[in-house]
Amino acid sequence: MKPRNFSSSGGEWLRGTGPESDIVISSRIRLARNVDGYSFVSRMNSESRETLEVYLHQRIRDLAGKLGLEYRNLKEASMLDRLLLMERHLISREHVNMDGDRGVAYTAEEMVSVMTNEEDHLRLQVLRSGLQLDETWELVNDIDNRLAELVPYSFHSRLGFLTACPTNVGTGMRVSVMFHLPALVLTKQIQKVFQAVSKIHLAVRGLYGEGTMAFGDFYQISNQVTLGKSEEEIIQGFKSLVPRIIVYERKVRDRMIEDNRTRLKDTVSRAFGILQNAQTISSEETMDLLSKVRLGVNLGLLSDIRISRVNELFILTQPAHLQKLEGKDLDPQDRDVVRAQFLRKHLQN
Amino acid sequence: MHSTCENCQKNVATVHLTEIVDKVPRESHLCELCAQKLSVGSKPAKAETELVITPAFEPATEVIPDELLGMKCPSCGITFHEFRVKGRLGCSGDYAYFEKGLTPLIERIQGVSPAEHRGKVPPAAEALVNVQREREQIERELKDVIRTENYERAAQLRDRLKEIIQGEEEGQDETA
Repeated sequence: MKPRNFSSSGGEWLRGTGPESDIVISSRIRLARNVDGYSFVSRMNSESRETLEVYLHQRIRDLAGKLGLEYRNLKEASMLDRLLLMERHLISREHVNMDGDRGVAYTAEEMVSVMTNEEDHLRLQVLRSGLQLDETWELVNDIDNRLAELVPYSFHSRLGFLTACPTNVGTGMRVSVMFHLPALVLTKQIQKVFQAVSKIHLAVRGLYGEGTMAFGDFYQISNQVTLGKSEEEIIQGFKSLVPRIIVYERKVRDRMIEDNRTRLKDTVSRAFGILQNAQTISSEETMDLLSKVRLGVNLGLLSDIRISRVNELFILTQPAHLQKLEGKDLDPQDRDVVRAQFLRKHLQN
Repeated sequence: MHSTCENCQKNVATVHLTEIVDKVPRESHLCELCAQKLSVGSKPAKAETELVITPAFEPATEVIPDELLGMKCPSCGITFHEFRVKGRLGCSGDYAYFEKGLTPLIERIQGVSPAEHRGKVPPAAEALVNVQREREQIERELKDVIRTENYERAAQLRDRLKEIIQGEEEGQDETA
């Protein structure tokens, strides 16, 4: 149980190197799979769940060689370590809070993660920087194919992959594209995106960093439909929508600069100034200001900080990360002081 | 089918929200104007709250008969009622056992009818799926050719169907 320098750097998807990464933070695809012959997780007794966990751990180890997957037992992990993994998008909130045998295996660069005994027996996830839907699908599909040789999946010839919740049945696939849309939020046009998205049966989710706070201008778009379409068709739906959102956000950003460059530069510079100097700062305010800084860097209005660093700070300033850094539990007030210290240290000129 | 906005009580609700508070879903239906006014999707959430904006699928209309609600899966022991309360099935066998109740539900939440998987098939199931798809195809064609009185083709199709059914029975014997 030794997370590598989790408190000081983020996963590959935060590097901001992928296509369109000024607006698209990440592309994520996860596949839900269950093992034939076992009840679904919520209905399993602790004995068979333990058996299945050991069985899956072994299969993942057989698969792990090439992929470099590292397995961690979550039943034995502390609450803080589980929250840390959630903040890094390696496991889900449900996986943090549930009881019983369960685990996660992930690669060193945190691009691949395999959750065991979550809502379904297996949740395979690939998370990449920027807009890379084909590459993301290719990788998760390959892992799925390899795992299918080792594990007999629950599969129905008419309904496809069988899942604990019928909202996942069929492909078991959830595609999520995470956007940073500060200009559409600032100009109050974000609702138009919601409308366009819901018309084609995709869902928008705001992101909440710590379950208590809004996550600055980040929106996640996911498919609702998992049945009746092939994986490629589902991805195609994103390919036709995502570029339109990117163009829209970019157009509004350009107009904001044209209309009043000085005012916008003032806004983003002030945000940077507060982050550099605050003595105590909440998670919510941090997200809000980092979002403005991110916009400023992407528009060339701020040059003192790299985008990968801004991306990482969104994750590294979250509660579990700060507590891990300090090596102890902190109440919210202490956390705000530690958060401000951390930001001052990392945003010095 | 359309509901009225809960906030203004005037416009048609087109934004359907499911807020999950303490694991209990709470639905609200708003028009676009009110949704914007209340700026859903950007309001700070309470602890354990997740905001999901779901597309406007058809609302639940099916009436579930009591006998269906009381059905209990012989394999995992879950009743259809328990499933409706928790939203999670107990085992893969439930899909067959509760088929009558699940099919309309799946078609509604997935917005697809008939509910048919069109994605990838794991290698182990490929042969089975191909045979099944061929069988359905033949059965459809057989109806057509009988209607058009093409008896020669009908005989060919019946022979193929017999082969498939025989193959399936042999397959069952092997696994029995």
